[in-house]
Amino acid sequence: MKTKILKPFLFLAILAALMAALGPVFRPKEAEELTQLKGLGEIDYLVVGDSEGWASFQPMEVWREDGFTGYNLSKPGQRLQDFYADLQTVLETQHPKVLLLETDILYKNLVSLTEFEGLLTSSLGELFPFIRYHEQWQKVLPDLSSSEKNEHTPDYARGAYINGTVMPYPDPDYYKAETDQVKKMPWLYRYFAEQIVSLCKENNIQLILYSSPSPKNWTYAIHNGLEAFAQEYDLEFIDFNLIQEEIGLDWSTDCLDDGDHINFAGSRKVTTYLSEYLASHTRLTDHRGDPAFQIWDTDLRTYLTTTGQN
Amino acid sequence: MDELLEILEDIDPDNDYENDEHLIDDAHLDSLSLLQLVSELEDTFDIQVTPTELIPANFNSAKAIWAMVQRLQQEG
Amino acid sequence: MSYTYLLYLLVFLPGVLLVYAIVPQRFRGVVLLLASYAFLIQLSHKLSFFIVYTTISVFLIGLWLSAAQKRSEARIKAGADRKTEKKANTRRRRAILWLGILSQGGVLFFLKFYDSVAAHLNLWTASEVLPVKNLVLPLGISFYTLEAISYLVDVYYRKIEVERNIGRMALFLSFFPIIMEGPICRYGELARPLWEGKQLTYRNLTFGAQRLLWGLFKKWVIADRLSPLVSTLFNHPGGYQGGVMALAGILYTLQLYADFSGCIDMTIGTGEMFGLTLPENFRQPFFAKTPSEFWRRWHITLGAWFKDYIFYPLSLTSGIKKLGKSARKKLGKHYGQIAQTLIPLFAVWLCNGVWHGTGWTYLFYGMYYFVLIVTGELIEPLVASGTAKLGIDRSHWPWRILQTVKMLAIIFTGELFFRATSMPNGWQMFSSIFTGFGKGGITDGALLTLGITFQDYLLAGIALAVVLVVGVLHERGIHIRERVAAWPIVPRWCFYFAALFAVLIFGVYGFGHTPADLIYAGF
Repeated sequence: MKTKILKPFLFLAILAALMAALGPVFRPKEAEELTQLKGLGEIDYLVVGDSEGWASFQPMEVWREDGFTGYNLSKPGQRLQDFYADLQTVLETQHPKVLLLETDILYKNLVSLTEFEGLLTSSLGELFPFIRYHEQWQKVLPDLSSSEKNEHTPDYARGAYINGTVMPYPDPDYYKAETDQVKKMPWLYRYFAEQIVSLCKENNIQLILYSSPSPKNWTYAIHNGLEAFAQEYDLEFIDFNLIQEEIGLDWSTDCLDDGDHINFAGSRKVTTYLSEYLASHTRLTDHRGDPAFQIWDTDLRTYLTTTGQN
Repeated sequence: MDELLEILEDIDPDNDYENDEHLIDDAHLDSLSLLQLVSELEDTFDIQVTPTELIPANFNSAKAIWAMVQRLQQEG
Repeated sequence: MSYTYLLYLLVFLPGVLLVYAIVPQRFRGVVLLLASYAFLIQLSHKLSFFIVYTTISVFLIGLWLSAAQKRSEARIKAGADRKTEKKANTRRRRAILWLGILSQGGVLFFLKFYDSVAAHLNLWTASEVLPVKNLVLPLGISFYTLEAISYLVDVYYRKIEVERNIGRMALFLSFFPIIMEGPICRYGELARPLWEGKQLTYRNLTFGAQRLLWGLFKKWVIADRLSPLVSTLFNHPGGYQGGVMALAGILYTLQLYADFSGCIDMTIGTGEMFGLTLPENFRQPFFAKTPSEFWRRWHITLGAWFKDYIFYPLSLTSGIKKLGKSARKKLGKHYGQIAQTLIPLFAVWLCNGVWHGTGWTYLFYGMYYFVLIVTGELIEPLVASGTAKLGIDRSHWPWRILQTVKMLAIIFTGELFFRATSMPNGWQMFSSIFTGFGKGGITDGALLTLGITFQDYLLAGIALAVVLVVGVLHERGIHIRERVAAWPIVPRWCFYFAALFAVLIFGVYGFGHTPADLIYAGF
């Protein structure tokens, strides 16, 4: 009888031990984030967020205008807790001085099972890196489908999304509905946002929040919630929804998909503003002309040709 | 019972109805023959076979069919 | 949250099992009912109302049917004329039954067809006769509607007792492992054991978990790995060469099989954990040698439902019986028998197509099998005499292999049209198999540009080989789980760990993946 009760526990214990043991086997030698940054030299700033961050910031524009080096680490559907883990990995080798956080990632609907599923997936991945990296078995065999892939070439767009599609948004006055209501930040994102705040403090990183223009996701109440959070932790906060006239945003030409994201033209306007902001509010130095950063000029040419600016 | 065997022989003479206990399970009677059988049973024995009677247990052997026919005659 | 969510596998299901185990037996049915409604509501939201409607209306109509019967028996006892009363009773009860069938089938039919009909009408009349509403089907309605109708018919024929406990009815229709993709269960077999709250046992839990893992293997390692490839091919019906298109039909069939039968394995395994025996839905379908045999091995519970509730009742109506009798006289036994089944068979395959959806591809799919089955029956005497003349032994292996290959071609072709985004697209893909051949497409590396890697192909191939081996063992009546359970502990546990890690390593799940939809939940 005793063994009958013990057996399932023993089984689970062996299972856990095996999963723990497989972790180091499956963990890639270099995290994906580090591979992206390989060969780019010293990185001045990083951009993070979900698809709003991905579509709204072009690091190459900053290089062209002010010579700061940065990378847009945003991914569509990215969750803050996953990003927090990624950031810790990046900080092992890189020492960025500024972190730009697109705020849409702070106001995802938490009370959805998809969110819980994501949370469960990432916590399991934290507990057993084997679960997180199980797809690495593919790397054991040579990848026949793309022979060039094996040689690492950095992304000339530095992680950003380039899409010039125009799908106008009909209600450009959406941001004028002012209110005093404050929407609370979901507890989970508040927790990880605080973790990031303290991680930045420890590493001497200046944290700047910005909200990409997005009629679909933005409300005045969310703005108020972010404003309150920024004040509480003494952070800079730039809401492009409210200053869209100032940067010359035009919803008939700068919108990608009916008010959800801005397109490439829109992202240039946001980036230009942020680039000036970085130049005047931070102590970043201009690397242009420094031979150590030659790859940035090479990739800038590709970027300009691809985006039709040359 | 003899009448029943006659009907069965007429539908498919190749089967051994005296001993075969798996007419349906072993597909010795297919659904086409089954329907002909039912309509002849109804005519010969003046019974009403409802669709729910069409289960293997009622048709797997001549004995089972006969039992069903007698039951339905009583119910009728 | 559906069956392949980690949330379901690691939180919901274990949670339900735990609560089920600790509450007294008489509350276990309620626990399952609450869990099922929670599961239903998180997937279907407001549309969960539909299942409440079905539960209440079917419950009441069942009671009505049985009350009508009781009153009639009482009248006979009181001295009414037996024959006339019986006739009147049948008429009354038949009317009630039809009311019940229409009240359930009508809703399903309306939800499935309204938009399509409205769109066609508006197109033909070039005005907005009916507004297109983009109706969404409530979760599981295609499955539980059939279960509800079968309950009414069974009560009508007094095959089962009428249900007087609405909780039992509600749980039968909504039981969470079944609600998404079936199998389509029968009231008489499942309702009572389900509500009874059987004791959990070590054996049931472990065997059920093993079956569930096997389903997960099919779903995560095969279906979800092939999925991007299949989508690419079907979204570009003119984009690839013949050889690749032939592959599309084959790969979709394999994906669908792994997806659907994998889900059913998970369902049956879950049922097993609760001590329930759910009906099997697949029995090595690719070993079939004729179209009708295929349908006794593929989506078995749907085929059986059509047979029991459409084919037999229609065949036994007096009109069809008369038709059969005169046809047998005029055409002889064999063709007469076929003539009697023509109309019922047509109805079955029409319903099969329509049940899957409103697209012309589904209608084609149903009619395809109707024509194949009838043709098969018609030429059977010719084949029999032909093979006899040529001295071919039809039970010998070369003939059987030939039959299997022919049947595989039939299955793959059918599924190609079933999955095609439209009839013309399906036709384009099908015809390009014959016109576009010879230009390669398979050997020139094009296969590696279709959304999955060389590793994915390799892995899916190996996993399919495993499924094949397991299929052969099942076909020979070997029960793998029982065999392994009899091994000594060390090899046995090694086997279990190997199986677990095969799924954990090679499955498509976890970070960077949103759990994929279940294909048949969309029907």
